[in-house]
Amino acid sequence: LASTAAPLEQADPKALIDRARNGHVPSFEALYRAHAPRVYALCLRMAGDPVQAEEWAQEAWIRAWERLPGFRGESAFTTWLHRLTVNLILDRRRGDQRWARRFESVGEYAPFEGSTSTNEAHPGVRMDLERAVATLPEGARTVFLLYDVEGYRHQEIADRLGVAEGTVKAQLHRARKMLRERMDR
Amino acid sequence: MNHPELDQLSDFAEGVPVDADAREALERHLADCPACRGEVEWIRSLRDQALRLRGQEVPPPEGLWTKVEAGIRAREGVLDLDRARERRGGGWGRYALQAAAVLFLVALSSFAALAILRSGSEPSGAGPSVAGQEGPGAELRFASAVEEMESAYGPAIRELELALERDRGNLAPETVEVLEENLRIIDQAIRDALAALEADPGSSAATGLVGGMYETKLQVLQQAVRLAREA
Repeated sequence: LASTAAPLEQADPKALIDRARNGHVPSFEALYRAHAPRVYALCLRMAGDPVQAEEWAQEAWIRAWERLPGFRGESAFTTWLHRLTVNLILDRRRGDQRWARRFESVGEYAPFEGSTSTNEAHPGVRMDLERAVATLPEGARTVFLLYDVEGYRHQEIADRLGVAEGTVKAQLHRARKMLRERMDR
Repeated sequence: MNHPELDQLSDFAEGVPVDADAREALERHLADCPACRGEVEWIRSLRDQALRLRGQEVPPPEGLWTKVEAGIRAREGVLDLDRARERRGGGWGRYALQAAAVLFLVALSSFAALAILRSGSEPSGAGPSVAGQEGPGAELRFASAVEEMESAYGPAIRELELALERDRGNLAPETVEVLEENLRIIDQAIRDALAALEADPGSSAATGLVGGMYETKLQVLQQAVRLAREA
């Protein structure tokens, strides 16, 4: 497919969605160009790793292409795409046994000493939330992002990840405590 | 002093409704306990900041659209197959169409892999394994890319292969033959794309090719398992 998205980027978003829904790939590419930075940022936050984030973003966009015919416009396209991406990530996490074992390991908590963080170069400087979140262990980071950023409830997170609700709460408390240590410095 | 549970402080900070007596007792405690008050304030401040992360934007890697497009191409082949199935009421034609779609994709991939190999080997005239970027750094990047690819696609592909093995008895022998031929060609295309990536581990085009071919294999296996289950 030749890249013909440039002029389409100026087009009405609803028209782009309608055309992409009918299989017009250049319109879908224009939607990709407009929304890819938000989708990728979400994947990067959740993955904490650019390679994994790219894989998820790729899968999310392919899933969006597949499911676009079912998008009726009840919610904004951005909201629909955001939810679709989060759901895809949760699906992938749920099927990953190695990740599940890492997620469950709440007992390995060690107080933050400041020696491994990104504020090492500037002792005494507060770490912003984005960087502090990136330093969290996987379980704590995932639950914090799903609960405090994405607005999922404890039980919903537990169901989607296939873990106990108590584990989700423990990971959330752990995340908040670790973030406070990192950001209060 | 008896401090409330962390769950209670969280619920209070988040405004989760509790009965009036419990709320009053908690508020009395907070008035006298700087530590718990600090915890509640921290949770509120953290949640305010957390909401702002939702609108964050980070430019995606340059080659990402190429990979998405490859995946869509693969999906389009499957969709064509489904449309053909509706027209023909099932039967052999759909497999032939699928084979055509996959072969088209794989041919595109092989041309692209060849182009990368040629462009990488021109300066030295050497073979693919030493063309492009040389040295331990390149080897490490290649090994890391292969590992990432394997970790992203390997488990799903193996799971589908097992499922297909279980249900393949439901498919006609001719269908199995076409599927196996398709998978053999895709495996060859994956090897070609990996050779291109090995020749130029930093190439986003080569990475996209490998990802696209793995994605194609995944899609074909998914379709095959679905067909076997429906048969």
